[in-house]
Amino acid sequence: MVSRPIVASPVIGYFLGNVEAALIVGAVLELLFIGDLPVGSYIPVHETGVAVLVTAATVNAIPVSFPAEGVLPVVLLFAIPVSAFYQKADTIVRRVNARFFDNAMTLLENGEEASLVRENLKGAALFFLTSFVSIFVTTLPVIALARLAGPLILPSAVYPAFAGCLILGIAAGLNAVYADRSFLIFSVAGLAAAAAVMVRL
Amino acid sequence: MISRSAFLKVFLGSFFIQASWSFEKMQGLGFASAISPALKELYNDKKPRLEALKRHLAFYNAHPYMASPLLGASINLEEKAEKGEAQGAQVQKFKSMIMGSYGAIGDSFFWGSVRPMASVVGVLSTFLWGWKGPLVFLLVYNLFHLWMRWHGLKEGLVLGKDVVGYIMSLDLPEWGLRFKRVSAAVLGVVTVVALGSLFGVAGPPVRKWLWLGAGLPAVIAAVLVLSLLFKRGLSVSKLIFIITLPLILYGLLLRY
Repeated sequence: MVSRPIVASPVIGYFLGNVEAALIVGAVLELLFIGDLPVGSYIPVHETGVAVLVTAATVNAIPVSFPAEGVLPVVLLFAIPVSAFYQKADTIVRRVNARFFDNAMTLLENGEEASLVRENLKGAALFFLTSFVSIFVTTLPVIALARLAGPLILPSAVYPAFAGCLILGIAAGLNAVYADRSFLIFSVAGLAAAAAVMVRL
Repeated sequence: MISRSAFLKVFLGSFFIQASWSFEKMQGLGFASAISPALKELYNDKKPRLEALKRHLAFYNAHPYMASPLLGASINLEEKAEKGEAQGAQVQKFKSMIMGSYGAIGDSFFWGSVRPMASVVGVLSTFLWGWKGPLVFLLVYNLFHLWMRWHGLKEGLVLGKDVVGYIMSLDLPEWGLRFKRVSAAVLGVVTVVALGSLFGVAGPPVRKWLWLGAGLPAVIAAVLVLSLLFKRGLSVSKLIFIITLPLILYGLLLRY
């Protein structure tokens, strides 16, 4: 589960020298992609790829101690089309994986028992390589673009869009945990928390 | 019963059950690879061992964490087959019968309840305590995930086919529902914590009351509308464009 944005983004942020901004990026992405589940043969959004891309671009677009909220929505608009490329790469890998199964079957017929573990690990290696290459290839130009365009972005103009992203993430979360009375529970908890904050302030 | 070292190898192998996931055989190779250390120990002769491995190298699809009880039960049945107390075909039949329902239970409990709960608790912790948030997420998530992988494998080994009754006794769908309600409540708190600071509740009193009287109800209404759009089948990727693009333009107009 280190592949989830809430963990992957701060790790990338640590290596790029801005954990604070990466934590905000990770939290927002975690909420946005909370309901995209790998059920059956559905390939969900490559949330790790998106997390790496968006975090790297955000951190490079702003100076340290600058709020990530000021650029995150703009970066997200560029990252979403790229995520379709990651999904496509993921689909290709899963097609190629069928060959490892056939190889294992043939080798087992020939009495090679160790082939099972080996062929299975080849699948993991292919997943890793494909993800690494596709993320690396797409992230470098996006970082370069972010460094050029970052100073041109007016953070205060982006704040309403950041609030929109957060609200969308909360809606995605609520949709993911949909059950009877979940909306009522959400509203009551929100109002109670707001009242508690007001009393404290 | 298999040795402790074989148990550990199967346990570690269960983490790679999706490693070679394909559209045709799904986790078939992963399951066969995970169970292979146990079969190597159970069958001394090569021929029946190869037969057992071939039995498991077939289509298999269930939730990855729910594979552990099934791995345990399959090893238990293979042990019986080796002793002549059961037939090899029964193992395959049992797997085929159970994997569908275990897939559904696991998807609903782990993907639909535990993961969102860990996510929202982690997000709230991030907004409140910074870097501790991701650690809280990992702690909450892995508590359930690792428990099922370890305990499920152990129970499957001991109980064999009766592991079905054990999984039923856990009442995972009911717990899943409870976790969803907890997540909904935590999301309510996330809304206040994350958006409150953006609306400037720590500022002058008039802003405070404006947030409570108008801001928060408006946000709750917006969340309801967006939830309905999700229900109508709109993807999050499309909604990101629909929401952020006009708001960025609005921000620019407001600024100039």
